Amino acid sequence: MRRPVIYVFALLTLLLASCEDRSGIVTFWDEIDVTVREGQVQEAEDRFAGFAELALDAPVEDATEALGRLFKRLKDDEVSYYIYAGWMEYAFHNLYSPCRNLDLFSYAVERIAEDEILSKEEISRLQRLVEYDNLNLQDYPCRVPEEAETDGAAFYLVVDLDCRSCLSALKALATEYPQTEHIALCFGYGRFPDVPGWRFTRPAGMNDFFELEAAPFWFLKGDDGLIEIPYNVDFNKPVYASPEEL
Amino acid sequence: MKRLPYILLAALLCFAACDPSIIDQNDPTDPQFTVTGLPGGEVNAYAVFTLSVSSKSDGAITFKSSNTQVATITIAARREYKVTAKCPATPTQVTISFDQEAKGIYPETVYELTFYVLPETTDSGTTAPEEEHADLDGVKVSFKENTALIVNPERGFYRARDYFTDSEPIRVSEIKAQRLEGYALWYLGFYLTDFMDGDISQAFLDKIQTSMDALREGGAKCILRFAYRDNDDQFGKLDQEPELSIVLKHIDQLKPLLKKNEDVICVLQAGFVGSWGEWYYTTHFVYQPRTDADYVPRRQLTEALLEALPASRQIQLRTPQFKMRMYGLSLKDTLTAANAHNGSALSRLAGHNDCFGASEDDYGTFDNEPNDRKFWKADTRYTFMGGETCGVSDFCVCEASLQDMRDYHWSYLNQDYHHGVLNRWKSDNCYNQIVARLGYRFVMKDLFYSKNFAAGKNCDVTLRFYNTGFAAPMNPRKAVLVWEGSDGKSKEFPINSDPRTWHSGWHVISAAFTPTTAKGTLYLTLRDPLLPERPEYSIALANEGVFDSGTGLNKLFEIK
Repeated sequence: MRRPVIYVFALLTLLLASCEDRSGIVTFWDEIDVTVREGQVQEAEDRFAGFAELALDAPVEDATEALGRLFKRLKDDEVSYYIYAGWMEYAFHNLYSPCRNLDLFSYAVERIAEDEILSKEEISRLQRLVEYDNLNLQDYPCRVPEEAETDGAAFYLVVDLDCRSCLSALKALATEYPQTEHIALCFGYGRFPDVPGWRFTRPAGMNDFFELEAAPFWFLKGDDGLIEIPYNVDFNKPVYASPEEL
Repeated sequence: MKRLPYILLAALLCFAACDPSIIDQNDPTDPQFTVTGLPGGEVNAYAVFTLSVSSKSDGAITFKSSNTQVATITIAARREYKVTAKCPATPTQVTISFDQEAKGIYPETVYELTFYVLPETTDSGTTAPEEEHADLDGVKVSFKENTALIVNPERGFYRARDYFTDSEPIRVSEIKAQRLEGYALWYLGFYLTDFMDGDISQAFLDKIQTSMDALREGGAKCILRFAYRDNDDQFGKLDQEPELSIVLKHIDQLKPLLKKNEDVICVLQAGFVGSWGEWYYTTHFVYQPRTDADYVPRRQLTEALLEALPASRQIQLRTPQFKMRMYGLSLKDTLTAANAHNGSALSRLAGHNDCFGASEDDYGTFDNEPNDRKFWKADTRYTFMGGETCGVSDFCVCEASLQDMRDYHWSYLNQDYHHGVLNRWKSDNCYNQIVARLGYRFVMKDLFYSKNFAAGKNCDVTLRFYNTGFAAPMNPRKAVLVWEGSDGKSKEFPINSDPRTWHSGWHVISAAFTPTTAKGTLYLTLRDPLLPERPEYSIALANEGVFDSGTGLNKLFEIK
């Protein structure tokens, strides 16, 4: 009777093992030398970028497990730890990154805070980025400074009044979502530009809500007050395919 | 024979039926849908380009990218589509497809374009011109340019950090990490906000020293600035800095630190006055000064800084006007080879521009056109120029930026700001050139040494190289030949040429050495005189297989 039981256990173990790493990402870092050395930085960065791309399609729990294993190995190498932390921010948080992944970024920052290898300022800065990321997520209630609140749908653009690309974005996006109120959330020292179609606001405490360094970026609130499209940096026309209508 | 025309006609019809181009030309229902504007089969990361569609049909066109993680397509104008590439890890194929609906006599048309988006690279490509130079007498040694990222001291993109009373000093591991990623220069801004009424605390002074020690251990240097307020929200409500007497007292307190850390201070920005220390929103130093008398407090501050900072180091002023007005200078007074680097106040006063390419006058940097520009163009040949960008404009396109960097001899720029400008340079394919060319970049072309080479006998060497950077090195540095004999002993032979005179362009330098052995290796070293034992602070030539990061020596040739 013992043998069949052993076989069943063995089979279950195998099944569990294969379920654990359905995407093949969990063990991504296991056989890799994660120390970043002079002359091999590009290679290491490319490898990390490959991981970030893989993580996009992997189940979140697998990707975080893999990242956890990476952190465990980095903990003894402060210099490499700093480097990987920078790559994580770029890959998982940056609005321009094709691998933006808020789950992974949030997890990474948790680990970074626990490990205390980075300076306190750096950890606080990263935690702040996570706070910014967690605001105005899709299907969550819209949060903007009181001065910019509005009933119904709204198309918001975060604008640095001293930045020319922000002003171009105002012009380019003025006609998008024509049935929606357009509200420019401005900061900086310039005057409100003369661009029709926008309600301009310069609320105090913009920094409490938004990562101002990422401006310009936009988001869309639906009639129900929930976020329809979260933070986005695609301009001109915020859809990838549509009938030509200009 | 009568059948021949029919056969030929039949053959022609058959050929036409098989060749769609002939059919198309004659087919009134062919909309002749074409797309132009693709830069090539491979496009750079961050590239942005416009595709133009031409079609006889008025049918609506839908469009899509096969991989929106890597390239997005949006409509820019009628029949113009903006494609924005992102930054994939590996070359990634993207297909852009257009689908025009059937309308009138025209059938539905599907059109696809495929290209690869390339990952970001740090390779700058060659920077030295492919010019031919006549050979000299002697044995020739040729060199090949290294196009990979080269980390060199006192130049390049920098990382920025601000420090307040409760901030933690920078960590060595972070400096080492950044060095591995190509950054050996830091901007450190120390905010003395909590000491506006009295002395700087010993704890804060210790914090500054700890940061300097970390820089030294990590192999980096800093652009240093002190200020009292980090924003101007409270301008008019709160003092932006204390009165001059307190500021002078603070400079007195900082003087020992400045002296002790001369080796890791690349340059000092004048700071202290106004928000961020940028000399604009000020309370006690005359806001928007006009008369000579208005500039007196700023000059007093400048004089105190010149006295406090070791004479080998320069102080950067935020605009050209400040140097001109404080010292009553005009265009004829700009520095020349005769008075550059002579330790005088004027030779030590440099400039920084924190809104490079942001507008026509760089947001007030050049108030008094065109003299301001001319002044800086001439003066920065001998003094540091660096700073940051602060917004995307028509003035920071690649061509204009590269020209400005050449004209104003840029040595450093902020990697942390403004990302829009940096991304534009990446997408327009000049970012890596800027990385390579900020400050100096010495590309050895060739050298010639005496044919009658023999141990114990004088050997002449002529070094021929380009400085393809925008500027010469600005801090003192000595050029030395090192002969390492086959017996393992080294001997040094100073070169009678100051690297601070190695401006952008072609150089021919004569030197000599006496080999102590018949076999051995000749090196060139450009050490930091204050950190001679630290190879991280030696200048690496931008040539393949030449620099040894373990010793800081550039290998010129070996006699076996």
